[in-house]
Amino acid sequence: MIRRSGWLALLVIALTACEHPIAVVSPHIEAADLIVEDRAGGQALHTEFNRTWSPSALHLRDDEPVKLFLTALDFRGEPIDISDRPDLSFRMEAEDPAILQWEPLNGFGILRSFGVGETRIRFLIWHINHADFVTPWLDVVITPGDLP
Amino acid sequence: MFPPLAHLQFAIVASFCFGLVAVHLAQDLHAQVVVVHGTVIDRAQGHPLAAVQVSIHGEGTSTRTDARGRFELLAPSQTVRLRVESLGYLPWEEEVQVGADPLRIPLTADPLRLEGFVVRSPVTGTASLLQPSALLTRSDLAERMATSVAAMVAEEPGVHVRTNGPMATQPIIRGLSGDRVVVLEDGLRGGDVSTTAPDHAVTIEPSTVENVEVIRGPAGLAFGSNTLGGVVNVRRYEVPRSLVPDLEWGISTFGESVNRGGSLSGDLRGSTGTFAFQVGGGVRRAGDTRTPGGSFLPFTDVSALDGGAGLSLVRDGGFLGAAVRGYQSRYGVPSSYDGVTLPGSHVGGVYVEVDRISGRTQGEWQVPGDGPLESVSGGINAVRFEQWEFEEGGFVGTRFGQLSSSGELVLRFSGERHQGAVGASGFWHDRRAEGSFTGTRPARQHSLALFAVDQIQVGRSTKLVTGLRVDRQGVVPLERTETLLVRDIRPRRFTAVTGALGLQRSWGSAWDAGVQAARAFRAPTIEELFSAGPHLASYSYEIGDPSLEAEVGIGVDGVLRWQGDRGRAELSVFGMWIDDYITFAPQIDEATGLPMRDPRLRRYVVFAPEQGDARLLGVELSSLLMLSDRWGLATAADLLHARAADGSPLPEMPPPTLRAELRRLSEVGTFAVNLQARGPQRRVPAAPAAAEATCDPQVVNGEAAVLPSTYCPTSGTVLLGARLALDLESRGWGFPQGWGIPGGRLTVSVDNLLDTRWRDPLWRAKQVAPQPGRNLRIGMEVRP
Repeated sequence: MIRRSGWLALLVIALTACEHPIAVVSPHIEAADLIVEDRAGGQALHTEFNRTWSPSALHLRDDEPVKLFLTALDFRGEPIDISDRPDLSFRMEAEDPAILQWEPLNGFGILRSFGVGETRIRFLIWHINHADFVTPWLDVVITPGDLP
Repeated sequence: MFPPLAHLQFAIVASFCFGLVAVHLAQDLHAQVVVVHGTVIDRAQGHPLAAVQVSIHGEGTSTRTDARGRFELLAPSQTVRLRVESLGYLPWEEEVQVGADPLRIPLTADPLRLEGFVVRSPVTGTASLLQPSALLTRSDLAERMATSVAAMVAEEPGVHVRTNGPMATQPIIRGLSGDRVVVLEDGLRGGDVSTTAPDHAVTIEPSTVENVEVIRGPAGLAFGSNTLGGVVNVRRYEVPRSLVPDLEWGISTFGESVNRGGSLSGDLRGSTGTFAFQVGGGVRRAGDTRTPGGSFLPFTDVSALDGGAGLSLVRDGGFLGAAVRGYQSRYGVPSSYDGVTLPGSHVGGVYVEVDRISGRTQGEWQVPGDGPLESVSGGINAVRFEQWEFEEGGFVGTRFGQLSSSGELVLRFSGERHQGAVGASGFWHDRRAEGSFTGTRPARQHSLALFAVDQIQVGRSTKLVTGLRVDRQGVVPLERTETLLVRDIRPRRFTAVTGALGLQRSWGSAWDAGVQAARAFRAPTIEELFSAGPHLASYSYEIGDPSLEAEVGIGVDGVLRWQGDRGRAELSVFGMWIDDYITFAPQIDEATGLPMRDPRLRRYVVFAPEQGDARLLGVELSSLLMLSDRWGLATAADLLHARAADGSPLPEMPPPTLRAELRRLSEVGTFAVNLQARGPQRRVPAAPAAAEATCDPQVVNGEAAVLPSTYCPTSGTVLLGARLALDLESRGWGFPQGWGIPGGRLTVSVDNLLDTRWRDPLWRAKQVAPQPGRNLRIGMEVRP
């Protein structure tokens, strides 16, 4: 019995050792800049050399979700199509997540505000388990929405 | 039992002996004739020693051992005094009783001997006389003990070391590095990623090594393809090959002042019945490295743990065994010096952790009978390797994983005038990486080769060596998503026919000369074909080129050796012509005319592989001259001229080097003073016209803005050192006899005695940080 268990343990160890420690990983996206468009509201922002934003702030109204279209650009300024890369997704981080939330959808996302004030956000292109691209912080100003 | 060639030798010797015996019989009809036979082995390693001179004292009869260390001699009586001599070993002389059982004669390595052994071809088992080579024994290694294997072999002519901290080192042979120099363990590939980047380490703990073979020049026939530069074969004999009559053990310790580090290692070998076993391991720790003047180089601390065990079934006709080994290390990659971030380093420093587990089986069957097939041997090695690179804050920037295996099967033949082998060898590895900073595309690489080698005796003093090898290699990407700069990603396959033809001639016992022409090839690596990512260790963003062709080199070596009563010398002259030599070159953005910045971080210059023909010419010299019975002068020198087809210098080539050591020899040990002189490295490629920096580092925001070291010359330097090696047993300082410990060997040495500030021409951060300062090293080995 002990001998059989020993062989079994050896077999398990050998099989474990034969399993590759790393899954096959797709290459990083080589994004250099990002365009953020609020097509309904007529706002368009983009990073410049991924160091600053132009314009420098995004304006939102409380209780009015905004549909934002994000487009990654390569170092030559050409758009990068990531729709066929299921391993990539756009994410957003807010300094004050209590007043802003991001709902990612296919090719765009919805930014929802839950209060009036100012905060900062940044966008990430998430690749499996890490960020391939992180924008600088973007100021967000949320003003009161239209009351009924 | 004996091969026909040995029979011929035996017949000649026997005829001569019979003649003598006949004369003797005529004088004394009562005299008896008996046969004394046995095997000569290395005492420390247990393996048989070939070509050892065995003579009967006072009789004028002698012979040499065959490839298996065996000999036979006709003796005039049942009691004779045998004398056994071999280069590099202490002479053995004893009175023996001739009986039915074969003698087993252990030879002890000569503590006074110098480097420069001729290594033995792993294919044919015969001396590899046609190529410049050296065998560094345990004694040599104890005196050169360092943090890495590459640093230990760097004193050989033509051998240099590329460092990126004490652990991340790789050997450079004849100016060729990376994948062009193969580091093997017991003849099989190690399975790490040391050749893929300058901040990766060879995963071999030096303190556990038995000996190291260094072969300079193309050695593809014997060791596999990709060996344009040469081979470093590290031997531990993890799978025991012979039974040992008693338990054998050894412990060695080593400490050095430059990093307040040290190591402790030990091994034990023994036998029970027909099984032989060995266990061994070592541990190493070191702090940051001190530079001349007292400043320390941060992130150069090291810790390593290594251990393994092997078990073999050993019979008269051979052995079959297996071994396992585990290795872990953690080391830093230098990041800054005197508050300035080094070019090519990670801000905040990087620690690399390595975990490697290997298992191997090896065996040999010595075919009985007088047929041409002498033996069949083979081995398989499987390795699981992981490496984590921790960035500032402790997150993993890159993680490598690799499964690999390699193996070989060799059939050795011998005939009246021939000694050769046919065989097959191959390797396979599956390399992957993940993390924010990785640029390595997951891929598999495999190789299968068939080879044949024959050594033909032409006349009494001339040998002809021929060899042929057919290689088939493939590199298959496991993920084919194109990136902005790397397109057309596809599997690549390479087929090459390589070979060697050489001639060796001896003049008496003192002079040997050999000339060899060899054709070798190297397939592009996974990184060269498919990379796309920042390579922070080289301050670059490296991209691959999936359309690269294989490098093919023609190497010609001429070797002249002299060995006499007053010393030995080896002079080698070589030339190598490599087609499609791969170098990484900075890319210019066509739109702006400026160096192309990486598409992700816009920080690093994009480097891409370029191919062109290269020519390397060089001279190497090593010698030991005994100036008197007590004084010896050892020298090693090399000179290399390497250029591209357009006449421009090849990048990262070592400067001319001279090492000389004056030794005072005695029965108890050696005292020596030495110097290492490196000439200036002036032949460097011209910097790109659009380069934005110079070779003089300018500190901007705490970071050194400087031209890549490839384009910067380095001034020469001279370092002085001293060494004292004592045989404690001979000195009478051995352990008390009741302890059963016969003695040991103590080595004390000082490197860079004058604390000279010097720059390593091959280090990418040479313009900013100097190399280590004065270093007091103390090593001790206890081994019965």
